[in-house]
Amino acid sequence: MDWEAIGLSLRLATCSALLLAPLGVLLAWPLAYGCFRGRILLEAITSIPLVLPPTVLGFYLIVALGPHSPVGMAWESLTGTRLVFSFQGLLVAQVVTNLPFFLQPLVASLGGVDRKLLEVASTLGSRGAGVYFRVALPLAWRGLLSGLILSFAHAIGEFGVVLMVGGNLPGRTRTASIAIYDQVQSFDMAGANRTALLLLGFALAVLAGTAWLRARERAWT
Amino acid sequence: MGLRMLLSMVLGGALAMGTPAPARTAPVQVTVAAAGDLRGVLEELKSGFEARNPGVELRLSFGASGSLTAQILQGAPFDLFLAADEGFPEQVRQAGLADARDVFPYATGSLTLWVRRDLGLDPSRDGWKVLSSPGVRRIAMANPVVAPYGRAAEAALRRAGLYDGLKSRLVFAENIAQAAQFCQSGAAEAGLLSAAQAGHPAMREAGLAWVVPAGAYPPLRQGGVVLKAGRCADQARAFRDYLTGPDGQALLARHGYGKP
Amino acid sequence: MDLSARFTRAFPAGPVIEAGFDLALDSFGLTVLFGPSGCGKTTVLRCLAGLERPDSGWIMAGDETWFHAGRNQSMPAPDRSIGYVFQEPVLFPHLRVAGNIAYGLHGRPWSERRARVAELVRLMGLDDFADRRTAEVSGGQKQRVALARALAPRPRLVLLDEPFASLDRSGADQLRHNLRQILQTLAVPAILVTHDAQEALALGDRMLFMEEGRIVRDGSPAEVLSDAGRAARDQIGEVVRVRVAGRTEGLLRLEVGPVHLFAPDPGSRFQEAYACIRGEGVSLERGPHGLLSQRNRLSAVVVRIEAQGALRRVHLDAGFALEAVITAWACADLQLEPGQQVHALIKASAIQVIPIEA
Repeated sequence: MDWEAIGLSLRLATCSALLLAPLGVLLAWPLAYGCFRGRILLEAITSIPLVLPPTVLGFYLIVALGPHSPVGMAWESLTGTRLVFSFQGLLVAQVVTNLPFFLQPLVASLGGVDRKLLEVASTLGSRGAGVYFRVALPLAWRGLLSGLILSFAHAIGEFGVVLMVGGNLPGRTRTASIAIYDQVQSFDMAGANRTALLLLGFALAVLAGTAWLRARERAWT
Repeated sequence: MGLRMLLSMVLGGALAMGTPAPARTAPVQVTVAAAGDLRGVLEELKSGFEARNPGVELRLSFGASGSLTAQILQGAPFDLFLAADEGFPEQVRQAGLADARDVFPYATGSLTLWVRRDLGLDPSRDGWKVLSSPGVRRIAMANPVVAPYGRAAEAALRRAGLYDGLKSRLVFAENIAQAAQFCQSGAAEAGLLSAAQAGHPAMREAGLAWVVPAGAYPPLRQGGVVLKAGRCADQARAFRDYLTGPDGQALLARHGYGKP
Repeated sequence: MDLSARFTRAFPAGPVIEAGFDLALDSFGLTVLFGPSGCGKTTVLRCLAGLERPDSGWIMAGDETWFHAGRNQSMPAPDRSIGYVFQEPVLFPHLRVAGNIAYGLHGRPWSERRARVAELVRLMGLDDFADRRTAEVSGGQKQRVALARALAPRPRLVLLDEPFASLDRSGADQLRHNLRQILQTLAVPAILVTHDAQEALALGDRMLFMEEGRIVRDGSPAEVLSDAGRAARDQIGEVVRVRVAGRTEGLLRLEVGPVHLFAPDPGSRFQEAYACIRGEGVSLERGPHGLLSQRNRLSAVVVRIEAQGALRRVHLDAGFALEAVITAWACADLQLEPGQQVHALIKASAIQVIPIEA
């Protein structure tokens, strides 16, 4: 069993989920409650990774983060290493790719919060941020958890973008999904099977978890 | 509330897992980018080299020579690149990512035609003719754009006047190892593979092979290059020396490679 | 220091809501905003709170400008010092009772918060419930929590939008009974929206009567209601201020000037009350009489007669204004005309007595 690849997948998914959470929470606020002209555009932009093929995403990410890009060059001058083909580069790619998976359940949950509760909060002295962080977000915690679980699970399974932006560097960017690809090409069917079963079990656990959450939600109301 | 606890346990466990950063006492890791045809032989070369040089560990990444070149040009941090031709290493040198003296040939590859055993065909007797058998519905080969073996396969087929007729049945794999995998899994009934791939036990069990005559395609002179960006240039060169030395060459010969 | 409000708000499909009134903010007073459903009362309240924005006019609270159309100023709701109680108790489900009450006290020192919450818990009779989750508490208690929550930050004005409407009978009665006392103790002026005339009479010092979006009357509840249109009168009847002269066998003996009336005793202790007499409970007699079931037999003079289909509404003067609704047939039989002397017979059970809270 390729524990190195599995561990890498878990670390990558965990770190990207942790990075994604604060970013997503901040973005969800205007998406759920904003009423400004650019909101539709913001919604479209944050949903793009859902509809683009991974190769297109991967391509644009390489262009945006590569050694000839402003971001890549800034990174290199700060740290002395390349952003592409590194764990950190993959982290950036995962955050971008998984953003809609985190945002959609959260924004939906926020939309479901009774507007009267938000009005009451404002009559009691809470401004926008107070209403969002003290009332709306706590009441939307199921959407937040759903988003975290979904983006984590999606990050574990991500292949195309990871391969393009990270390559296949063992210990650094060879995640479990890429390891399977590698094992198959080396005729190591047994190894591929073991890794695949583990990922399948994981996917089932995630689905069971979200189904349980949804059942709890129904019981609550 | 129960789920929150469970989740934090899982995340905590996950963070604790995964490889820690290599400590000072850990072996030096030499990252090698290698063409797909080297999959089998390079594992053996790695064991042999590491036994001789404790304290050095080779980390291998396989792919089509063209794809690996693209990655290297994008800044992928490899120490050593072993391609399936000499053109790709040359590209890397021209891009300023390696010195001329670090470019070296290490083997000559040969193209093999492979067909499934259960079709009742004999490629070593009939050569190209087995491809016109109705049982051969799909023929796997590497993508000529990114894989030198694919280029060689296309050249050989054109030489034999068969390319246009067979085009509709050709299946392009991303690299030569994937082409072999198509054959082994049954997705393709025949394939144009490297001698090394065709010689793998799994392939020998599943089918029969015929070495395509050397004159049918431009020679597959396989070359490598030590990259400037790598941090273990000395150890990379040590492996290069092993590869081009008597032990390495003997291993390569056993897998069907010729001298460079 | 006064609240001064003059504003309008138009809806595309409905009437224009117009409000104009002043209200003292430095002393207790319970103003009832009264009117039939859909006439715009809630809109007025929401504009005062800052939850909706009027189209024109201004709202000034003392020297603070809460809204001014001309200067394009609008103070957001969180900055206005108001408390708002909705029709349904909108409690925060993720906080307990004490947490709900303390919500508006965010940022104050911990000891101050604890003291204030304890004070309100005691005042509202929620001592046993402070630690409960909101789901474990009954409807009436939930609304008490909502009220406590609105009052905790010491607002200058409290707005209540039909706060008893979603409660069951006993919950509503209990809260209604305590509401005036609580607000008076905390010395917070309040505006209460209702369409229930009894409620308005029982609780209000002042009534703003709204009809189709405009405030058409402004005065004491009894005055306004006796002037009020048909709809209110149908609901409540004539309203007379009475004094309790005695109580026997569950009946009250009420005094209106020289006239005595008997009516059922609603039970609580009081001296002054309003008696509401609906026309349907009044019969008329002319000429000599026998033994009657009605306990109330009053001398009256016919003032005028109004036709209402097959019925006649006879307006009387019995020392106070009174109406009798009888059939046209009966009216013809009695040969009733303005100026005639009659006796008005009122069943005691047709008189509803509404105590005036001290």
